[in-house]
Amino acid sequence: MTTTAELLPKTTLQNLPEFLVRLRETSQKIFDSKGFPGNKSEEYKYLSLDTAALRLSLDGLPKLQPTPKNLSKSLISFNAYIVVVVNGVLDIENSKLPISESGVWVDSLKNTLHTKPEFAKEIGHLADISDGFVAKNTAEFTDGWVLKIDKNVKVSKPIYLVNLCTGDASFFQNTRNLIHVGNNAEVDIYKHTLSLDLNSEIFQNGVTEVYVGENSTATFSQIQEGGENLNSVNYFVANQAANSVLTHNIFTLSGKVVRNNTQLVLAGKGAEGNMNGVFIPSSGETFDNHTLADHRVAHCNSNELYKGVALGKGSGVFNGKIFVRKDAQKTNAYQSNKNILLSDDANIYTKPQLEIYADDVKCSHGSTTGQLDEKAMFYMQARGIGQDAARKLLVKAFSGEAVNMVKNEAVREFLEAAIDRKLNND
Amino acid sequence: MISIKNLSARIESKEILKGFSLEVKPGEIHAIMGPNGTGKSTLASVLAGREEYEVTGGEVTFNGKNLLELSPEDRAREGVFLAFQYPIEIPGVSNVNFLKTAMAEIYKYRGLEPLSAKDFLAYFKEKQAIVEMGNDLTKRSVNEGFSGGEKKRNEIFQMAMLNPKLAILDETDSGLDIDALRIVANGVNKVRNSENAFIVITHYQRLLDYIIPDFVHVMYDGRIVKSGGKELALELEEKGYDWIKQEVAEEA
Repeated sequence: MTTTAELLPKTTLQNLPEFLVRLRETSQKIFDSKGFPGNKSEEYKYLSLDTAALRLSLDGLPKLQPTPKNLSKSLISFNAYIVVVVNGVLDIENSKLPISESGVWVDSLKNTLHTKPEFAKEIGHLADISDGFVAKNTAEFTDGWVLKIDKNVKVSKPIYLVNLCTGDASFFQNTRNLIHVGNNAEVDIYKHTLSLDLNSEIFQNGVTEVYVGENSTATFSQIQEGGENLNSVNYFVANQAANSVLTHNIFTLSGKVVRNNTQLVLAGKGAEGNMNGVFIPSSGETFDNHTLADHRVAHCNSNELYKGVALGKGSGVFNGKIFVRKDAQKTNAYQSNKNILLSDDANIYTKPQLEIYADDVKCSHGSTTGQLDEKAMFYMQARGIGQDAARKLLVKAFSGEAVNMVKNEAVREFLEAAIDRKLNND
Repeated sequence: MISIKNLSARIESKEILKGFSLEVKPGEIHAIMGPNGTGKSTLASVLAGREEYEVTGGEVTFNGKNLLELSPEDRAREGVFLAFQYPIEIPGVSNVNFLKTAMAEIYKYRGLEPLSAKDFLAYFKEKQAIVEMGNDLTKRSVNEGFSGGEKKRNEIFQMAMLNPKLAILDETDSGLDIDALRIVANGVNKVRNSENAFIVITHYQRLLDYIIPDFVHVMYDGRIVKSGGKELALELEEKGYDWIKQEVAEEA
């Protein structure tokens, strides 16, 4: 169901840096000439984005929604700073921001343009506007969140970003986020997308640009439980300076159409980039993951592990590219994608890609798609474990390899329970 | 306990069990011996409910229930246990979690409350001692990276945990050195009581020095062709199977 009721006109952002004003104009031109990428585009060929959902882009933004009172029940309960974002707008009242911790700073993008104009200048340098969704976002983003960790700061608690979608209106939203992790800093970030009382179909087109400073360590884990009314294109690009370690984890558990673009740019010597993911589409869901490990300089490592489990008539995609440029000697790059189909009607397309222009590198990739191990199933049944419980144990074990990459125990437990629920509903 | 009458079964188009009959009462240990390829492991698989095998005739009654109509998990919940000849590795599923799930499912079937975490742990430790399984093994994923002997010990450990009414040991002694064999046999002897029963499938008399059978049966061409007491095993060890094959040929 889509409805155009209760929308506000889109507002113009004030105080944009000059560079960004020009970039927005260029992006608009690119978008006007190319439009959204369709099935004919190689990069989006398995993604059937509903044209009705894309037309939502013509409309305005939803009125401000109060944060639902029952929100806390759906959240992960752990000791963290909480940043609540409702339909793309920061809800300070319901957040627990790190105001007392020095060197950690969170605000809306809109405010940042006024209060930290120097910082706002970092927007727009990493995301690739040749992608139609990024062009659209860059031309039209209205708000988003911004997170800055000063150099040498080890953030004392995880930062938990709650990306909540709610309300009766249909809308298309371009949100723009920026993370800056200073040199020698450390931070553990979780982004949880969920919907509560979301009664019409919406489209979130998000772009997150991340700077990871020298010798810093950052993790960014995404839990996606958007529900049947959320379409989302979720673009994440990080630029890693020398000797930085970034781990990006993404768990796509519900949503109508979810496209995850994850790009790590290894731009400084000795950087390490890790990408892990689990995606579990069931009937009516398409979860599409495109990743890029872009090795630009020598002596960098990248590791990647994606696990797909398709249920019912669910559809999944994994497309992972390792790109080793000619100066990136002594690169170590590993990629693994394993998939399980739990029904005859489910499908997963997988495409590992290696593009290597340096000669002294170690790269490998592997991909498998199959059913649950029948021998293991029988072994469990022979011990009195019914097929449902056996299947759950095996899927938990299968996805566990990626779930275990998450640092925080409470988040891991939440994910295990969420995966169990997903299998129960199948 | 279990009554197997005229059981016939095939895999694909190959008939393997051809009118197999056996009666086992509580407290008894039956050994089944015989040359390779006579259907011993097929018997174990059919009783456990492996789907690849098609039962073409006969009946199996287990404590008054038609065993062949039950799913593999329900057979286990009724108290049938198969110690696998080749135990399966399950990466990512810990032994503890595996057995906790199995016991919870069995208790639920029987209408019992599951053990508390504390009671489960105490029970787990008690049974661990029976097969001399250290925490290093039980904390790991089910059978993952276990040696052949460790896998077999784990089968007996699982048996001790699940406390079945009827345990079928499918060549549990194969690939074991003498120390492991002793540990496995000790495990069986500690679990054995007047209420439960064992069917021990083996090639070698050696195991039967440690697990003393009440009956020894020789299986050949899909059925039992000769039965006797424990002394039959010694005779087979000494004389091999050719004389049995000859007897069968003469009868035909």
